[in-house]
Parts: sequence; structure tokens; C-alpha cells
Amino acid sequence: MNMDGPLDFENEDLLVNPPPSADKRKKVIELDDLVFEHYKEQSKLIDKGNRKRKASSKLYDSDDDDERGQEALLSIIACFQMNEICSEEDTQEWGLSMFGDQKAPTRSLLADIDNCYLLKEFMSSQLNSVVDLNPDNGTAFLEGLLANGWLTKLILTCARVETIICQWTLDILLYSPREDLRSSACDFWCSILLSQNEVNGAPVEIQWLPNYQILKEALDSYGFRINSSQVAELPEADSKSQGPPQNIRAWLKLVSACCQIRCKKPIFTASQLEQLAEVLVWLLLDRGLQGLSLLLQESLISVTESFREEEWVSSCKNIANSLASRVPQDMNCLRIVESVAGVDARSKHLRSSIANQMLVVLLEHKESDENLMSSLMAINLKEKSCNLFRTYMMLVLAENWLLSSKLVEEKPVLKDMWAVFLRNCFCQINSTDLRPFASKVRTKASYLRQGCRSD
Amino acid sequence: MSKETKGNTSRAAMNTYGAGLEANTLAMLDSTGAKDNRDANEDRLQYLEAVRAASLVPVNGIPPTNKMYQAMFRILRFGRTLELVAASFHLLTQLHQRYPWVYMSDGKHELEIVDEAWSPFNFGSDVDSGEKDISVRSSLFQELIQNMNKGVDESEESVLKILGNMFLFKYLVHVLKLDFTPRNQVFEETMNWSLLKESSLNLLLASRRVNFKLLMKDCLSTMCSPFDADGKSTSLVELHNGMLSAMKELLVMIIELDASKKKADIEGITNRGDGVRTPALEIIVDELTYDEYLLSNFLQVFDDPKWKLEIVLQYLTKYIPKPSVRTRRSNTPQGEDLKTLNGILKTFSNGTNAKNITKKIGPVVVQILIGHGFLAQLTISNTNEGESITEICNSVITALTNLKRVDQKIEILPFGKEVLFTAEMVLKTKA
Repeated sequence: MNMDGPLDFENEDLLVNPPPSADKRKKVIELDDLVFEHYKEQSKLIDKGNRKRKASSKLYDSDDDDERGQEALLSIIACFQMNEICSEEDTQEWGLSMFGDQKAPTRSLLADIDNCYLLKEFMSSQLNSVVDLNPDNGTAFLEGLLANGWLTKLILTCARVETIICQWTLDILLYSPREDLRSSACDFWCSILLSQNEVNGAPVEIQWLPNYQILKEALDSYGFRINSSQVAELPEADSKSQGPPQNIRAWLKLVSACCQIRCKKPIFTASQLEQLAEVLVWLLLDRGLQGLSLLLQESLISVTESFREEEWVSSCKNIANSLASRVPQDMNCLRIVESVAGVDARSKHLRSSIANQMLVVLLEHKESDENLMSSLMAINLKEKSCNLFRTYMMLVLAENWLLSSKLVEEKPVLKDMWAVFLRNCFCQINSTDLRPFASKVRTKASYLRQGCRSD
Repeated sequence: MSKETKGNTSRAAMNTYGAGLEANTLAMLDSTGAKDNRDANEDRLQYLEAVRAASLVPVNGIPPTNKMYQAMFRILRFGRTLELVAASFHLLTQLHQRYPWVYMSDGKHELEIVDEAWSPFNFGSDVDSGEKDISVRSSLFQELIQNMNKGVDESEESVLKILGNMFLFKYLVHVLKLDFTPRNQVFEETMNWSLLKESSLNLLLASRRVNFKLLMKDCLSTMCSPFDADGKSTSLVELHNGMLSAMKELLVMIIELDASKKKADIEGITNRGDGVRTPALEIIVDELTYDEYLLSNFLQVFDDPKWKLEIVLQYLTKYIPKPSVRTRRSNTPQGEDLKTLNGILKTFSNGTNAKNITKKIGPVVVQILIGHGFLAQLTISNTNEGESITEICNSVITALTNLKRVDQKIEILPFGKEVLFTAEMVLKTKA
């Protein structure tokens, strides 16, 4: 089998032609399908033109499919002047650019490494005649020790680490441009921190620990936009922004490790943890970091798991509140709900709480769950002025709010109200409704109604 | 996340739910037909989110049916956006954790294997059963590894394709591991070879379509090829690291499978149908023997302490002079000594031995081997007190300083100096 065939992402046949399903839904040709077909033909023509143009200018951008699609769509609008129908697309994308320009690090940690006890002690030993360590080559030698893994093994074996070494390695982890050094420094920190949780081995006695302030300063120097006013919505074309330095990966691993030992050594306060959780959710909104999503999700779980039982309920609410008041009210607010994995009890709780708070913000409600649901039920979807995109968001949010928690079991009335809302979404929207998001709301509601019945 | 393993009680009920869920969720993919890419991708994301909502989020989740798994895997393999590939990867791995197909039963040390569980692999026949079959065969797996090797620096390949291949490889190794680890664990307790014989890993490697030696070579060269993180996206660097650790996991699994097979061979519970394959460890040692660059890079990257130590020991024993004609297999006390790092290091304390060995393999390789052996030993000693650390530190220092005594012209590498430093400092704290 030639791997280039099936693995070629250009070849989409396999995806769009899934194996025949036993009970395929009956396909009705709807008006929007016909309109759609028309546009597709047009966009194909324009697409061809684009492709030719691209080929002649020899500037082949590998992943500009979406861009091309958008270009095509824009051209259609220009060509056919059918603004009423096309101005609002049925699909909107999430994505924020969380990083601006990198700043020079404050370097508060710059340690006088040549003065460390470790080097001094060795210099007095007889073996130094072979190793030839002196104050001039001390730093380079330690870098070698770190990069080759010796420093980590040595400290784990000796079970003690001095302040200067701690600060020096943390500085490398947060700011070094050398991948070998920063990843070794990250291993070093994760190992000595996690040794605190060892049952058999001896925990390393760490004379100096990082704190929230240091981590925040580092994030700041990476260009992270901490204030919501700075968060720029990411237009598709503006994806060339610099993004964070590679150190962000080590930063995330360090945060996880610090959280994992919180029961033994609390490094962060509850409110600092809340802010960290929030930062992680914001980072999940940056498309430039999609390759890091596993790391981000794991870090988020480490953070949520590290709250004490008595802290969690109020902290979860704080995180949700703060996010809901700051995230833009578009696809991004759905994305943050869906990016919380929902695999363990706390992430389910967080998922549900964020969705709930988003709904509260959208509906400008500060009252009970029942009131929230009745506002949803009161939406008249037949009304022409009804914003169906908003309805769609609220539908998804309500789903996550109710179904990620035990709320409907505890309050059966909510379940009934949910069923009414779903029925409204399905019945008040005609299958031939041309408004943007009409068919999305209808399909989604129809799917969710199935689940409602089978319960 | 808790495993859901006691599904037997309501399996019939689950099947009904499953069928309904299957129809409803797969309809999301069907309804698109051959629509615009963006719409289709949107539907795929909706599908993944619906499966998560039905199978993972509820306490009593409904396990996905095989067809649903297949659809998720299709998205992982052929997804055209990073978002789709990453989302299907996360969902599949989380589903496997929640609904394992091979697991240890609670309390008893028995293996539970779910009948007809879905797998991304298909070793059933070496002939393609149909165009629509997207299962991974042995040959494809081998090609994937070859691609890992050349992938990163090829500018004409789109970044998405490279990232997609890395996700796919990582996922496949993850599946192999979930399948292999419990089987191997139970094998070690029960010596039931058929458990391992039917493991996906064994089936994968047993295929005639796989050139095992080539596969090992590709793994080695991928692990040892230089990777410059500068100017690359954080995503690419992170995934490259993930791919490398998956490859290490794969190597360790293969080595462990070999070790278990050897045990089974000795017990006489294998038969000719099990085939003969050169053990991975032997291939690795052979490859490293010819290439100083490969040796140093491989030992740098490969961090499983147990097998790293074994590689160093196998390498060194080849060159250690053996008394008279006894082979390595004979159980002389001397042979036993050569099975530990300390035993081997002691042969270096003898000037003539040290000189002979250094002459044969060169002073650079000697330092690399001793150093990495020591590094591995330190990791092992951290967890369980085997040989006394101080004794090993002393032997390491003697062996390395002896090199200088053998020949004044021998340079101690920076790496060798780090070894000496570490050994000395460990001694100081333990004193």
C-alpha cells in the first residue's frame, strides 16, 4: 500500500464517504441545499482561478484552504450582491491571539552560579586534577551536567538542593533559548518536585521554591495578554503573530508539577490557582497552541485537582465567573466549555459551571436556575429578529450546563423545562428556514431530543 | 478517570442504547454528504463532541460502538485541520482509558479481554479487504515509522501532514501499549504465552510484511537524528518530543516482548508457529557497535534505565576477555560477575584488561559506555537498593582514571568529566 495515498490530507474521499450506515437518515433536498449548491459551483470556479494565480506566482501556501474558501466566499458576495443571505455565515470560527510581542525578561533570578557550594566542594577534591574545574569554566561545566542529565540524578541521589542551583535552573527553564538546556531544566524541576510525592524514595530537600509571581512575570515576558482589553480576536489572515517562545512548554509542565505536590508543599494559594486555571483556559483558545492541547488539558486537570475539597466549590465558581465575564460572546465561549475535558468529577463541574455562568451573562440574569430556563423557553424563534446564532450558543451552553452535572437528577423540573426548550427549537424552526444558524439549531435540538427521550 | 469494566450486567440494555447512539451520532456525519469542507469539518467536530457528551461526560456513559470508533479513527487519520486531528486523538485516548478492551480484573490476577473490541489495527489477512478499510496494517505502520524519520525537515511536506502523522503514530503506540502492558503483566505471573502471542504488538511484528531489522534501524535513526527547535512552532516541537517518547515506548515494549518470549522458549511453551526473530536488543547493540555517533546519541535519548544498562552491558561483555574457552552462557562465577555493571567495571581496574579493551573499542566509546551505564545504574538504585551506590561510584572513578594511567595521551571527554564529578559528589554526600 502506498502511504502517500491514504495519508494524503488533500485526498478527502475517505472522510466524506464513510461506510454506509445501517439506517441512514432519509435525505430531503432542501432549499438551502439548492442555494448552497449554487454557491459551491461559483466558489469552485473562483477557486480554480485562485489556484492558477497561486501557481503562477509560485507562492504556494500549504494550509490556506480555509483562506481560499473565505476568499471565494467574499468574491461571491462581491459578484452577486446577495448580501442579505451571505453576510452572516453559518459557520463561525473560534480563536484568539493570546500572545503579543515578547518582552525582555526581568531576570530577577540571575544567580551567581560560580559561587555554588556544589562546584566549590568539588574543586577542593583530589579528582579535580583530572576534571580541571575552575571559576572560569564552572557555568559551562554545570550546563553540561544539566543537559546530560547528571545534575538531576545527582540531586535525586543526594536528596538535597541548594538555593543557587534552584534559581539557576529555574532561570534556564523559563528563559533559556537553548532547547537542550530548558528541557533538561524542566526535567530537573519536575523530578525534584515530584520526589515530594514518592512513597519509597527520599523527597529532595528543596531550599528554594518558585512562586506565582515569578511564573506570572515569565508569562508576561512571553507576551501573554493578561488583560482582556488586550486580547485580540484573531482574524484568519493575522496568524503570523509571533506566538510564545518554546519556554511556554516548560512553563506548563512546571505549573503542573507544582500543583501535583500541593498537598505536601503548597506553592500557590487558592486564588492564584484560580488565576492559573483561567490562564490555561485562555491558552486553549489560541489556535497557535493546538499542538499543545494535550499538555494544556493535563495542566488544567493538575490545577483543578490541586484545590482542597473545601476550596473547590467557591473557586470553581470564581473561575467560571471570571471567564464568563471576559470571554467574547461568540464561538469562543462555546470553545472554552468544550475544551474542558469533562472526564473527571472536577472538570465536569468546571465545564458545567462555565456554561452556566456564560448563560447568566448572555441572559443578563442573576437569579435561579429555573428562571434561567424559563428565559430560554421564552425565546420566540419564529420572530424574524430572533438572533439564531445566540440561540445556538445558548442551546449548546444549556446542554453542557445541565448534562455535565447532576442538576437534572436533583431538579426534575429543569429536565422538563429543557425538554420544552428543545421542542421549541425544533418545532418553531421550519426545515426550510433560511436564516443563518436556523438549520444548526434545529438539527442540534433534534439530536438532543433523542437523548432526552432515551433517558 | 474510573474504568468502566463491569458492563456485563446490563450489556443488552447498553447495546440498545449503543445502537441508538450510533445512528444518531453517525447521522451528523452522513447529513453533510459531499458538502463544503468547512461545513463538513464542523460536522465532524460536532460528532466528536456528541460522542464525548454521550460516552465520557455522564457517570453512566454509553460506550461507543465499533462503527463509532471507526468514524473517530477516520477523522484522526484523514482529518484536514489540526483541530480535528487533535480532538479525535484526545477523545480516542480518553475513551480507551474509560473503556479498556484488555484489563486486569479487580482482585483476581486474571486478564479480561473484551470480545470483538474495536482496534485501529487489522492483522487478519495480508490482503486488502476493500478500499474503504482504514485499519492499519503492519506495512503501513512500518511506512509510518519511515516517514517519522524523514518527516521533520522536508519543507515540501505540509506541516499539517507532519503533525497529523505524529498524532497518528503516537496514538497507535498508545494502543499497542494499552494492549501489551496488562497482557505482559499477567504473562509474568501465569506464564500463559498465548496472551502475548495474541497481543497486537506480537501480531504486528509477526507479519511477513514487516522487515523487522529495517524497522529497528528506522527507529534508531529517527531517535538519533538531530532536531533543531529554533524557528519551529511550539506545536511542532512538542509533538516531535511526543513522537520520540512514543518511539522509546515502542522500543521498550518490543524488548520486553522479546524477553518474555525468551522465557516462554525456555519453558518450552512456544512452538514453531511463533517464528524466530532476532531480538531487538541484539540488533540495537549491533547497530551501535558500528557507529560512535549513533551510540552516543542513542544512549543520550533512550532513558529506560533497565534496558539502557542492559545494552551497555551487552556491548561491553563482547569485548571483555573471557578466561579460556568458556562461553558467556556457562555459569562460571566470572560469567555471573559480568552481568552487573560493577562486575564489568572491576575488570577495568586491571591495567592490562583496561588497555586491551580500550584498544579494541577506543577511549571515547569506553567513556560513553561507562558513563551511561552509571547514569542508568543511578536511576535504578534510586528506586531500589541493589548494589551499593558507593561501591559503584568507586569503581567508576577507578575505571576512568585508569584510562589515563593506561595511556597519558587519552583525553577525558567533557562527558567523562561529568561522570567523575557526579561519582565523586555522590560519594561525598554518602560518606
